[in-house]
This record gives sequence, C-alpha cells and structure tokens, in this order.
Amino acid sequence: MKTRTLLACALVLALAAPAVALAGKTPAAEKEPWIHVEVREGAEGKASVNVNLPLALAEAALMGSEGILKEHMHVRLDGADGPDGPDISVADLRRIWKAARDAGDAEFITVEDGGEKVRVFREGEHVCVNVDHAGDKACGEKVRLRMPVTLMDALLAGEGEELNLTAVLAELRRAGEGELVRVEDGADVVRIWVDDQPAPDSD
Amino acid sequence: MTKLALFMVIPLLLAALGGVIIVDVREGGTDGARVCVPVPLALAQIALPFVPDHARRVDLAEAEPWLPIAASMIDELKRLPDFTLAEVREADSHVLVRKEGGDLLIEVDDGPDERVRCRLPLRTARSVLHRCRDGQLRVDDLVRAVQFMPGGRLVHVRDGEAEVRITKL
Repeated sequence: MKTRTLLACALVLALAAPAVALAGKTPAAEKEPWIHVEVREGAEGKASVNVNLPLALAEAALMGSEGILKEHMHVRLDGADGPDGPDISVADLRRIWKAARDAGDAEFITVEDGGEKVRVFREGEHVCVNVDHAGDKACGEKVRLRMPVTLMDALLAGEGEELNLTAVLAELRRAGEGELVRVEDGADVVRIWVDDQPAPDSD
Repeated sequence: MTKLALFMVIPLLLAALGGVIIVDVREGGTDGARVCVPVPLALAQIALPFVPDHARRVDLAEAEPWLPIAASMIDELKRLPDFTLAEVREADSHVLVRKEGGDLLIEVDDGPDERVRCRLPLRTARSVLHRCRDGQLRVDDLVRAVQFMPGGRLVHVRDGEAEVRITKL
C-alpha cells in the first residue's frame, strides 16, 4: 500500500513538473517592447491621452496587411501636385537622407524667423529636429524630435514610394528603450517612447 | 404542478442548449417602460431558415481586406498579458480600452449620468472572423459563435435614468 502511494505521488509529481516549469514562462514574464504615446494638456493634467501599444500587436497588424499597405499606403509627402510648392516624394527623401547620412554629425537646416527657430541636425546616432517658438504662452512652443539614424534607415529601406514599416518595427524591437518624440507647447506635452513596460512610467 | 415544472424546466433547457441573450431596456422616469426580451439562441437557430435569404447574411465586402489584420491582432491580443490599450481623460469624461483576461473591455464615462460598458470576448470575435467567407457573414454562423461565448454582461449603457443591458446567460 505504501509503495503504491509513493508511486502515485511520484507519477503526479512527474506529470506536474513540466506544467510548473512552464508556468513561470507566461507571456507576462517575457520582456516585450511597448510603444507609448502620451498627450497631456494643461499643467494639472486637464486632459490626457495614453496609448500603450505592444510592438507585437503592431507587427501582427502589419503582417496581415501587407497587400493592403501596398494598395492604400503609398506615401507622397506634401500632398498632390498643388500650387503651394513642389512635392517631396519618398524617393526624393531617400536620396536626401542618403546624402545627409553620409555627412555625419552636421547641422542640416537652420531657420531663424522672428521668434521661431528650426534646427535639423545629426548628433551621433540620432537625427534631431528642434523647433523653438516664443509664442503667447509663457513657456512658448518647443518641439524635440530625436530619431535614431537606424530608424530613419529602416523607414526609407523600401523602394519607390513606399515607406518600410516592417523594417521600422524590426528596428524598434532591436533598438530597445528610448524616447522618440517630445513636443512641448507651454504646459502641453506629447511624448512617444519605447520601453518594456505595459503601463507608462511617469515622466 | 406539471405546468409549473415546464415553466421552470424549459428556460433552463434552452439555456443549456446554447444560452440565452437577454436584452433589457428600461426607460427613465417614473412612467418609463421596461422591455426585457430573452432570446434563446437555440430557438434563433431553429427560426433562421424561415428568415428571407438576404436577411440571413451580413455584407462585409468592404471590410474583407481588413479582416485578416483584425484576426492576427486578436490572436496577438489573446497571447498578451492584461494591459490598458488606450485611456483618455478630459474634464469629467473618461474612456478606457483594456484587455482583461480573454476580453476586450471598453468603458466610457461622460459626466455622472452617461456610462457605457462593453465586453468583447476575444475568442468569440476570432470565431466570428473565422466564419466570414467571400465577404459575407452568415447570421447562423454568428449565432453559433455567440452560443459558445462565455456568459456574462456584454453591454451596459446608462444615460440618465435610461438603461440598456445585454447579457449572455
């Protein structure tokens, strides 16, 4: 009887062991990159928007949409052939980017107009766009866009008029944590960043 | 006595045969009406062949190219841990879209009187998408998917004193 009980216990343990081992490997335990978008309006957080998008979800959407993207998401910057100025096609942008990329750390564009200053420059492995506007609001408007060079490479890795979103997501996964965009307009703040937390950390 | 037994047994039997959807509508005010319609899904299945053919199909031709995307996103959502997908706060309104367990929850509060709660079981949504063929969804396929849906409150809308509740038993 005792031997039978011991055998039964051993059998139960043997069957339960793989389940116990697998229990620790739940999806929650894996480090998954998340894209966060946060919009805060007003100093006391009068209004706020938070979007937490797991990269895997964006990848899944993209995988299922390859045909649709080709059909519906050809990109032409600055609209169609309008009277307000020439278009910049993605192919043009790709050529400009190649030239700028090869230039290394440099100031690409500087515009100063009254109270507004726009700078586009490369700083190490990042392309930065800074816009400072001394507007009516006490703190003025401030845009800080800081994009990894490799992300821009990925975005323009397609052909013709296509932006390569698949490569962008792969690059975001590879690059890991970091802030991508920050826009400050007085007390209003927009942030886009990547980390491995489902819920955003406070600023 | 037999009638009473039948009165008690028949709803239980119908519930056991695929569940019942209860639509409960209450109008506000002291004279407000209340309409409560239990829809036994097994009966709905039986009645569907008598419905005109065009009313037994939902046209999804326009949405068809997007269905594979929705399907792969649902698969991924099912795999992910619980999380808040989106949250919007503004003055006295609040919107929350959240994945919780096997469900996608949508909560909207607009002031103290307006409130919407929706629960979409992901497995059911996936099953419905799986049953879409040739840009169409057959209503009997939809009913079948709902039959296998886990029970609970699906929709609760409150606007002042008026309320709508849709529950699966």
